[in-house]
Amino acid sequence: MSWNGYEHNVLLRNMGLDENGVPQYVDVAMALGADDIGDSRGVAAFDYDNDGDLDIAVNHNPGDHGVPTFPVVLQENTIGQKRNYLVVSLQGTRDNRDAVGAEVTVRSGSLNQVRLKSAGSAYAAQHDGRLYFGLGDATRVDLLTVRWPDGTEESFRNLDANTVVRIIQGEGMRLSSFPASPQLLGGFR
Amino acid sequence: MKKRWKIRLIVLAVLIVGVGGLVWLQVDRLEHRALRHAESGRSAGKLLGSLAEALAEGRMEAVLDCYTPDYAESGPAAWETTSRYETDGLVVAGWVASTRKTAGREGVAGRYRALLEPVERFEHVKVKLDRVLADRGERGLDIRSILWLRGRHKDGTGFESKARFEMTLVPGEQGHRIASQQLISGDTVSGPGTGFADVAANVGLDFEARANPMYETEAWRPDVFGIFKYSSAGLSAADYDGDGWYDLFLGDGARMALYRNLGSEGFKEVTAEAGLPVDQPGINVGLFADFDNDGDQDLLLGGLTVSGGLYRNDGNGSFSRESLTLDPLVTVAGAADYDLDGDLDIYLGRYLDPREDLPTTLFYTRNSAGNQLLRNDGNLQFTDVTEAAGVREGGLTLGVAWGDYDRDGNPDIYVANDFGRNAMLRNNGDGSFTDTTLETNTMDFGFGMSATFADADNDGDLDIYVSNVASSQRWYGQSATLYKYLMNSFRQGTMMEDLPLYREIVKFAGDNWRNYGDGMVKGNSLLLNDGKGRFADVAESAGANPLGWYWGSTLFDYDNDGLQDIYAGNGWITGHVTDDL
Repeated sequence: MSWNGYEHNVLLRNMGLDENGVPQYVDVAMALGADDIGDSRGVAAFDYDNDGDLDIAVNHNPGDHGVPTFPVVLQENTIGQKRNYLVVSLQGTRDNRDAVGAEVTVRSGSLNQVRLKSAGSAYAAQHDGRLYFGLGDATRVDLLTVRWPDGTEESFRNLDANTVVRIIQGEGMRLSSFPASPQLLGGFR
Repeated sequence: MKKRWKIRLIVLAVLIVGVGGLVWLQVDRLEHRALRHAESGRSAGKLLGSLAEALAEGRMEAVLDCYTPDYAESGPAAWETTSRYETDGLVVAGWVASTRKTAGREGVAGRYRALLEPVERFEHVKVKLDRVLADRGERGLDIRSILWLRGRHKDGTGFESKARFEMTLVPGEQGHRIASQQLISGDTVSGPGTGFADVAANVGLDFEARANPMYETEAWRPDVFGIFKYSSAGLSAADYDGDGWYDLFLGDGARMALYRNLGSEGFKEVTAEAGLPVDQPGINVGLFADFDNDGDQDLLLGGLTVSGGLYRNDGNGSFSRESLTLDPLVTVAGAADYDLDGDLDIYLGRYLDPREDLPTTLFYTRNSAGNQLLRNDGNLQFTDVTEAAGVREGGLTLGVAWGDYDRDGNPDIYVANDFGRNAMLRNNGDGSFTDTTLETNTMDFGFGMSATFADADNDGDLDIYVSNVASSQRWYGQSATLYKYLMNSFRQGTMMEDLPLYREIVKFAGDNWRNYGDGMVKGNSLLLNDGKGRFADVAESAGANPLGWYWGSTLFDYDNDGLQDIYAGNGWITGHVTDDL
């Protein structure tokens, strides 16, 4: 049952701002193979394969179509990894350890991007706890600023693209990396 | 004295009858207008259906039959496509109004021929009546239509075209015909169908969604509000074992599951060995957060038909049940440190009890089980502070998001209600919240199903994306009559209760009744923050309100180009009938 026929999950590509400052979106789901059809419910964006771009998982309601089950979907993104990125993970000390509520602003060239660290939102979903920034062709981040939940700010300059950084509140930043694969089994901390 | 009273009574009775009559006449006039509206809409819909059929079969004569014999095309009536963007195998062509003058019906034929030329086959051809803009009866009507094509080009790529037109239709012997048309906007997107691939089965993610068996039992049969059955289920990505590989939790009707990500070895289900409930129906949401600040991710389970609760992460791959127990009917959960005391508090969105209640008035449902705010007091102990904080929000909530929209340092809450209008709850910083929905212009009375804070336009402040329903036949909503609505409120006994709301809604959406039904199914909202904490819904001009019935949605930059894209999951109830209503 639908209101429009061929109702599918959509991937709306941001084509940039129009003259009024409104981002312009075009649905590229079919063209890129992300136009699944099902009774979608929760949607989570996370980098399951640690390759520097965000993949999409979708959970469903089984519906009423005669088959009582519906398989989970994990859409692996093979596009983002072609461009540069920066991954930021945060740790609060004065604030909550997950640093939920922190906002990170990244400047590369003339582009400013903001990511909010959240835990649970949308429809019953939770996304990657790390903050992902696409950098396009830029090989460097000029300035990264963290606004912690308590309102204090910390800034870091000249970061290399395609890195994972970990920032601990009040204790600075260190270069990190994606874990090696295959992982060491039983590696609980 | 007695006589005087009699006269008074008679005058009063006449007044009541008179006023009642006037009200009835007014309602009757509206009703009559609505009926005519429905009649015209049906006729216009039929015409557009014929146009779609003719296009699908490539019968140009039949296409032209949809236009009046003296149809004159000139100026903006013509359109052409321009290549706008090409990357990652993707070709996006915009349709733009052309200044080329072309003559009458031949011009239209040429336009459609150019559109059909590269097409090998269609999988979907629709021309929908989106809205009735003006109805002049015998003199015709102005409409907005949507042309939607999907199929395969001769070069092997898949394509999808969507265009919006304004048209003037005039009645004739065989129903309405198009007397003029003007392109508003359109796009053709084509590509190889690769870039994303569903790898779930390849990486051991063998989870399958199932219905909640509780709904078949006496205890939980949702007799009163049956669609409740289709609400599950959420999912969460979290690194519960701290190994740097993000794991996946899946809520479900029949049984929730936790899958551990083993890197190149894929996912493995660990629900039982992690000490979590196995074969537990009705868990809709899992929220991972370090509630005790000890360096690992604890887990809060929220249930629809069951009481969820808190599980402490023991740091060795398993969880232990803590004392915090939740009420059922939880649809969604979000954590934030609302009182800035260094630990994470919890806001729960909840629905109504489908065994006992129907939603009250569509626009302003307030009879949910009530959302809840749980304050973290340390040591994994929580206190329900909903009343003191003033965040109960009685709408049927499906989406919540925490974000500091006004940049005053305190995290605020945006609530997306399925039934009931959405709400912005500003955190005053003293433990209380104020409903700022009106002053922030964020009411959005569509069927809200998800809410996300993110900076969509890269200007440094937090915007909001909301999932709603978008119908390509919004005119149906427009034809919902005031009369029916009033009868409904009367029957449900909410009319008097709703009066304050009408004032709010009129302030927000004006006094044109058509706007209401229209606004209910206008689709997802993109609320752009002006930097001062006031929002404007730009979804329509942004192209961010695709046709469909959206649930979970999120902003993310899939192609790492620095601009935030959107993914939205679609789907109501898959049944045997797959075509549109």
